[in-house]
Amino acid sequence: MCSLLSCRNVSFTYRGSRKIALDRVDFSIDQGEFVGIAGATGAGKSTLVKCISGIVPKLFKGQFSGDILLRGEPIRRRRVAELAGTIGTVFQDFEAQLFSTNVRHELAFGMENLCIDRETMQRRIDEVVQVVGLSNLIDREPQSLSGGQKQRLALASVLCLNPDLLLCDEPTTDLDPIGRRELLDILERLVASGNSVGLVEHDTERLIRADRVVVMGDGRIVASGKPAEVLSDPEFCTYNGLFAPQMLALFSLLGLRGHPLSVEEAKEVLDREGFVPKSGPTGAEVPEPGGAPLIATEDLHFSYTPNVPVLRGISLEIRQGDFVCLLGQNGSGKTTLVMHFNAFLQPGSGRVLFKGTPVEEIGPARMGRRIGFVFQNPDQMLFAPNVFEEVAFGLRNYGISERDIPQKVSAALESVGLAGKEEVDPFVMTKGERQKLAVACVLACEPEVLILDEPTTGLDAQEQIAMMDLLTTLNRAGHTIVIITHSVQVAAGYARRVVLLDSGKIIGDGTARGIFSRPDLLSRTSLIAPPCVRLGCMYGLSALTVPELARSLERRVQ
Amino acid sequence: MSLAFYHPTGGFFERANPVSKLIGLAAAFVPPFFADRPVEVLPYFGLLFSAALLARAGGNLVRVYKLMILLFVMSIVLWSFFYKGQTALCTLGPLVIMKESLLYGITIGIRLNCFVLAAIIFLTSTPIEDFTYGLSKLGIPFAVSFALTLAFRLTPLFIETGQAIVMAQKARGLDLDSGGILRRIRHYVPIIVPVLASGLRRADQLAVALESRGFGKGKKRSVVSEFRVTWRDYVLLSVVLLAGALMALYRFV
Repeated sequence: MCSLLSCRNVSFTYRGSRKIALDRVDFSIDQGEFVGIAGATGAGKSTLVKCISGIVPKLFKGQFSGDILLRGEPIRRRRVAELAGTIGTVFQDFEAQLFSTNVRHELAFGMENLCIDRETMQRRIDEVVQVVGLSNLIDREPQSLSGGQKQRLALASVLCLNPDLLLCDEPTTDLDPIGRRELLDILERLVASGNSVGLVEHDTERLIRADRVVVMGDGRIVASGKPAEVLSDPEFCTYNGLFAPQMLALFSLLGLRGHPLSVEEAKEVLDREGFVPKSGPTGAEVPEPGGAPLIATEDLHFSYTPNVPVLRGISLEIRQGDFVCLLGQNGSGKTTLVMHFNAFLQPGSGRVLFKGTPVEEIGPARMGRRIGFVFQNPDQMLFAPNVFEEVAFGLRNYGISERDIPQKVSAALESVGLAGKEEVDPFVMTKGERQKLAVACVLACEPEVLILDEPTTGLDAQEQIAMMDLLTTLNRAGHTIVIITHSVQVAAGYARRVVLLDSGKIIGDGTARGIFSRPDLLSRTSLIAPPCVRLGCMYGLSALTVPELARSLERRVQ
Repeated sequence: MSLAFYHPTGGFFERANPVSKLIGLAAAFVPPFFADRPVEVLPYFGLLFSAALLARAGGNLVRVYKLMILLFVMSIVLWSFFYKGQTALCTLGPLVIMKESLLYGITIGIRLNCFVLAAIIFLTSTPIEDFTYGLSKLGIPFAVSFALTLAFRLTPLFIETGQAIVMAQKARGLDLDSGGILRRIRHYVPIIVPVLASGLRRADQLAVALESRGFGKGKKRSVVSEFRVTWRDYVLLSVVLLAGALMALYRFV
């Protein structure tokens, strides 16, 4: 079969960078093939996508060598815009791709550029909005859509061009599990109708649906093949910044052969092999910390625009030493809720208390010392020329004397693992390091509570583990931690207490084990329990992680 | 909440042809120059104001009324200094306020506000895409007209990013409201740096996203919306021309 697209011996180094981004890469996609591209941060996934769509080296300059062939023809001399009808690209930051007045215009933009006639445009718009499920939002302003809808719009705006090859660079990072599944369903339908798809993705539970997975490391392709085979070695996955698909990891731990991809497949093999749950408790139950109450909300209601309630009667108490995970789908009100803790938002009705005092009496400025906020995007707070100044900024704001600052800065950097990086410019750090720096900035001011909004979004597996281990260490050292997340894996693996939010209401509050052993709760939201939890449930076990599940299963003695 | 000026109403102005709206907008800037006294420019201001209400631009007017008042006051203050008059009206310390200067300042103030009103009517009733289309129909290359209207597309996004950044820095104890003027300017550094950085990043990403959707592929381009010339366009242009002609007549005859 002739490849739709192939890269031959492609190397690239960005201008001004010493590190080679792509190192003699050979890669191809066939007509109607679905290829997943995975790897750690900085492995060269995005650069590969940009090379294929011609953005590298035409818009991003640097040292380029090798050949890229589209149906056997080199694309070197063709401009990015000329390739648009054949190769479509959906980028990671979907906000930056949307700029039109309404959904219709957003979809039409690309077709207008290709000078497609009006009737065809109308027909394709009608078709594509059906496919991505935006039919009833055609006149809405893109900025007013939810994160998931924006993401689907960004995809749709490229689909309208009807490209033979669709490239998606981490299109699902900000989506909740159902949103991700929907996006993947769309991609699979495209492949079924003969288009080719290249999907950059770090979530291996999604990648297992691809025809072929390519794993990259340090600018090279380190593995390529069927997902079940490539991703079956957990050590290999972790080394390349990926979480191994849980069922494959479980089989590897149990010493079983076979590459089950779904929970059902795994159960079948386990039954055949005679595995049964061990008697006795699954794992050590973490006792609820009985510390003094720090933050309390009483029947909190809030809305940004009248008649669209965002919070609908939240009563929550966070105690000293808690590790709370606010879990919920996009738009369930998680961020809005924590914004009240610092008096950033005024409740529509109800009260927010900090150690018994209403927070608005303390005021946002002084609450900052008590409750430290790490926002989702660290780039929205980093501004200083070096790491030291960045961390010292908050301390100076709170009037800490210059004499004490160096010591407090080093202590904070030490605890996030950035010791010795005082002179580094934050802008050249990786996303994972910037996130840690943001934590250090907040930590230096010694708040009583640390709140983090989506601390693992956009990080690869190793970075995620490092970030969550850091939070666990801080929590053991006595810090009260609240994280907001839509990642069920993070919640299941790390939180002591999970508060489940849905449409501005608390629908579940308890230990992670308690919440995840109740599938009825999760099914009310658009979240899905991690595969190991679902498999555990089939055995009546409440295991939260793969090692826990592996420990609580044993072969029946015959 | 939307920060963009345009909001769909399906009304008279929105359904007029973008080309005639642009011509109408340019023409609407001319008549105020025929007026030298407040009484001459006020009816025209009234006309534009009623048109603004007809275009349901009330919400946008609320957003810019401070600018309008500022323009008005500034022009009165400035022209009181620079425009020579003969009739002393009153004295403020060492300053003598002349009647002619004051009247001239008021006229200019209203004139500037006429410009604001006309622009608001246009922006409220015209989607950015129609704006771009109108400009290219008037002979401006698409790339240029797109770049011109890009400012209107991106400003709301910049404001949103700015708000998020202010909140993030306030959470780190940044106090924007205290200290002398120099201190306050210094306080804005932690806001301005991330805003600029994110703006540059966004511009970069936008350039890539535009090009990969075929921006600048060829000279010819199709348009999804269909625009016809209707009675609305004749009415719109006639009213503007008539107003201009009446004011010119009053002035010169």
